[in-house]
Amino acid sequence: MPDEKPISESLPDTMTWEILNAYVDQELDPRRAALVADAVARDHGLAARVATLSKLRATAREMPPASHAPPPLALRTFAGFWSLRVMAVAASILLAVVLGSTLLWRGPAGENASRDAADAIHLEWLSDQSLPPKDAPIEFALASRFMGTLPDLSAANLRLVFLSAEPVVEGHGVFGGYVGPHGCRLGLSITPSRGGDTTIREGREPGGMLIRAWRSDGAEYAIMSHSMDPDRLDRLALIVAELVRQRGPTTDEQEIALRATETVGKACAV
Amino acid sequence: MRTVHGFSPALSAQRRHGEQRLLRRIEQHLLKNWSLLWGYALRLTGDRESASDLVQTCAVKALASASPPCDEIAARIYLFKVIRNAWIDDFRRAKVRCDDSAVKPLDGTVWNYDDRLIAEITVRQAVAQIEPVYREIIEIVDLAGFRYVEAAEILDIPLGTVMSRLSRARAALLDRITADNIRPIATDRRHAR
Repeated sequence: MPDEKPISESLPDTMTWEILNAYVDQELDPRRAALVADAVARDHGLAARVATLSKLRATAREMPPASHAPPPLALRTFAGFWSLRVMAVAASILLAVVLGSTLLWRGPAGENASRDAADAIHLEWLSDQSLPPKDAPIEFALASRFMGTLPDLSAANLRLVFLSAEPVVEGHGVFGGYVGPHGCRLGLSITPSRGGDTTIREGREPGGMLIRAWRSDGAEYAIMSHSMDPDRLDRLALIVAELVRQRGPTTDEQEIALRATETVGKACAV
Repeated sequence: MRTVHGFSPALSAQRRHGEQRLLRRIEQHLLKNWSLLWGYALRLTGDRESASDLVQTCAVKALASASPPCDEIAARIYLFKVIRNAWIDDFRRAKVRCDDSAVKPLDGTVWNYDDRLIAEITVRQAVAQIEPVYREIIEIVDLAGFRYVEAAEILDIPLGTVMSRLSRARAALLDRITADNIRPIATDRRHAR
């Protein structure tokens, strides 16, 4: 292991990044903890670092597992169960699908300038054909309270690579951009809504973008893509609707269903 | 009465009873920590099949152990050590050494992190993207909730290395979450569509 130098040389000698981490983890002895607490109370820079560290630590500690653990020393057979379940739900949704090019997930054009600007960025992102590097960090526009509701679609080989939110009015939504291994792009828009119609609605933008939208728990959800097969988008809409509703770790059944989406319909036309 | 092996039937029954109690205790520790062990195995191996193999291997080894710890915390440490050693032995010995030597010091003096960007999805993806040696310490301390001294025992490293590695791992997480990837929404583009 090479020498591991503290991150921040700008900190006072006694208040290194390591010490702040140990302070947040409550690993310091009472005397040193009191010294750090005193320094933090007098120094805004230290206080900002401690606040960030505390939030990072708390978020990591509260993070549910990426997927459920298999039962100990037992074999699992649930693929059949899920496929039947998906078929049943898909059949019922199919009956309720409303065709139309106008969707309720977006208000009138020009009603909110920042919202329009954000939508333009989302459309630009969806239209981009380039494939981001595999280890590229998530690109942010801004943050929103809805950010925590974005689902993990990695089992469907879709990486979250782009996030943005409308910042002007508190409570405005978030847009997550996912990319497949070959550059296929999927957008998920989450905006506040008072309605409770959970029916998945189908639509197409003039530019050819396919959209599936629904409401749930005070929010309007819409997934959209230029290049994804309509059947695959339908399947993803079903799974994403369930994921955002449960707000817990992905179950084995959902993970299998996400994986199976790659075999639904034609490959992405990028 | 003594048998040819030098054990009385009563003593033998007592021993069997003791072994069964020991097995039950190990099973309890395994079940109690199963999700955490699974999560750790999943992050070590990167896929569900290998993770399943690894936790099952851990269970088999723990159940076969002649003297597992009785104390709850010691048992947790023991199980994580078993799983890590099994992984190093069976899956990734060469890779672990390679990753450990590939770690580079971080620098950065300007504090420009935006706490609003720290959310479950961003932390989860950042954890998946940082160096394995950093991912492991985050897994042990933040996700599994071990104290520094316990992490040192599991990873078989000095306490000071736990501190420095963890602090750098968190710095790496923050870099992945926020570094140079924030862009404002330009107001002059509001009529772009």
